[in-house]
Amino acid sequence: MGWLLWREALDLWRNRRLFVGVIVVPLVLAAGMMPGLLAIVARTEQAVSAQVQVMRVRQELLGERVEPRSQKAGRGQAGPNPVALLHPRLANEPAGRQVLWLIVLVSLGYITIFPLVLPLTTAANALVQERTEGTLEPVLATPVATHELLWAKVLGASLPPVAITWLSWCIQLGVAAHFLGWPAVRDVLVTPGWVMVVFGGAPAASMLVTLVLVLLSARIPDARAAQQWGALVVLPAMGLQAALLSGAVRTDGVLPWILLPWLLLLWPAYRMAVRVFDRGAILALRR
Amino acid sequence: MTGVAILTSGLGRRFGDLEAVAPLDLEVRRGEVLGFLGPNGAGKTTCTRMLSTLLEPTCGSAIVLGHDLEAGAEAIRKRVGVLTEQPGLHPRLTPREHLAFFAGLHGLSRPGRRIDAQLALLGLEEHADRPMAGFSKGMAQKVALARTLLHQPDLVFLDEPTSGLDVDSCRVVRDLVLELRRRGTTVFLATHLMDEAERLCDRVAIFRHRLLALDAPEALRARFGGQRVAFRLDDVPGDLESVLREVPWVRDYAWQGGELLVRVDQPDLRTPDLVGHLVARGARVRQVRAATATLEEAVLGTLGIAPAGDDA
Repeated sequence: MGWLLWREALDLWRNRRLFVGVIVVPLVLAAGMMPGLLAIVARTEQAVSAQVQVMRVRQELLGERVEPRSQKAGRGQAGPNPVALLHPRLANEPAGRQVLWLIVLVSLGYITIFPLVLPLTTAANALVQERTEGTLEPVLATPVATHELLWAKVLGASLPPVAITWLSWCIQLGVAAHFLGWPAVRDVLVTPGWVMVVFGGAPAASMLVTLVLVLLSARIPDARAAQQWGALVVLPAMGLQAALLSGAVRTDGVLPWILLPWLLLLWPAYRMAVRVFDRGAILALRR
Repeated sequence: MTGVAILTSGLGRRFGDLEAVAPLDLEVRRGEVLGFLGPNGAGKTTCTRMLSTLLEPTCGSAIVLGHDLEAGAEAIRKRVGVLTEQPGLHPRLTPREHLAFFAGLHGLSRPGRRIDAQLALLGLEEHADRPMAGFSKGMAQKVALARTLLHQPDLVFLDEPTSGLDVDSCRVVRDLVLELRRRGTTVFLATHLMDEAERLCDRVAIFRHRLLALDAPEALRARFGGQRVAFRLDDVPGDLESVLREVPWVRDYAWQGGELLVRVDQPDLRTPDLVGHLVARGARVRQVRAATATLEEAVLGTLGIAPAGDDA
């Protein structure tokens, strides 16, 4: 098993297209997008605060009655507060901080998509491409057990996306703490729900997507086609993510129950994948 | 069972309606090089895959190196080496890494020296630490061969080992097969190249979805190629076919490379009579010689395919 994982890791490291797509781009997004947006919004917020101060001084000295543009625009527009929908504790936060929270929560929502999307690429490369390029057959001719081979493939394809998700999560928590303060971030984001999503849901989702690709690889001879069919399969999960981002599903309390079906699907998917990956049958599959 | 490397009993494989390998009874002796000859699509690869535990048979059973094909699959895999039809190399790995990976899968401890020896044997030392992405077919096949022999298997399956290789690479592969034979390793050589089979094999199985013949190359030549007499004629009788049909012991004839090849019973006895008959019918006989059938002719004869160049 160790040797199989070593080869998967080496292949990921040396396959430039795969490495950029699975490691570099998600990390750049995680480390660049949210901090950049937060910095811009925070600076704007400081500017608005300064403008309000200036107006107050002018009001006192000159007796002018001027309102900041942002307050004018907001007048009379009553509606649900999207940030409060995402987490009730945030309803009491000042308006400027609520914008920062919205950015943080949306960015973290994007990160939870990584374990669904990235394994499509790694698994297609590890399974379908290997079978079509004939590199699987010599491995099958060695004494390595079928379940070892399958586990190596599943771990090799699902661990990098999980690691990237966890790393991105840590980076974003750090950045959020910088802008919003650690106590607030801890209260809102380091909750059992979020921890379960990131540290339980991400590996489960990643492995499930990889197992789906194993099953698809039995019927689909081309890596790109397998990726596209796999994307169709993960669409419902993406829908759940969209619901989370829009506030339709709350992140506290409910989330662990939404993950339960995913966890329950893992075992039957694994059993089916073992059957598909069986040494005596896999080479008889259509190429 | 000590003298038998492979023993199959009704071993067969179907893919839906297609019978790729009809129930096969075959015995391969330990230490021999068995050529498994047949045209492309004859089921050679399917047979190789079944015997090397890569594909489940749909009927029959087999004993490979004393282990049942189904129950002892893992034990078989430890002791066989399989050179697949495609080299199956990982392009981003170097030959040394590739061999280290397979040594690990075979559970070899401290394989460094063995890897170096394999690389040296196949002349790959200079390229040992370069990624294999840009390797020629010949180089790739050498690495695949090194991988196949790395764990010193008792039985080696070679599926079309020289297909698409240049002359030099072919020579390396053939020398290696001869070296394996010298060492007493059993070799199951699936090929469609007659010359290769004739040069390397102790026995040859002619196969097209079923076993059609199994014997030493020279015996197959004599049995299926027949005994023939080759004539060079200056004047050919216009009704040559009826002229030859008059002779009861002439079995058939063909034109090949400007020569008339006549298959006869007992050529040593009949040749003078046949020459006299042709001359009497107006032929001018310039040259007569005994023609030995090649293995190719024997195989094509067995498969019922007319050799290229036949004008008859």
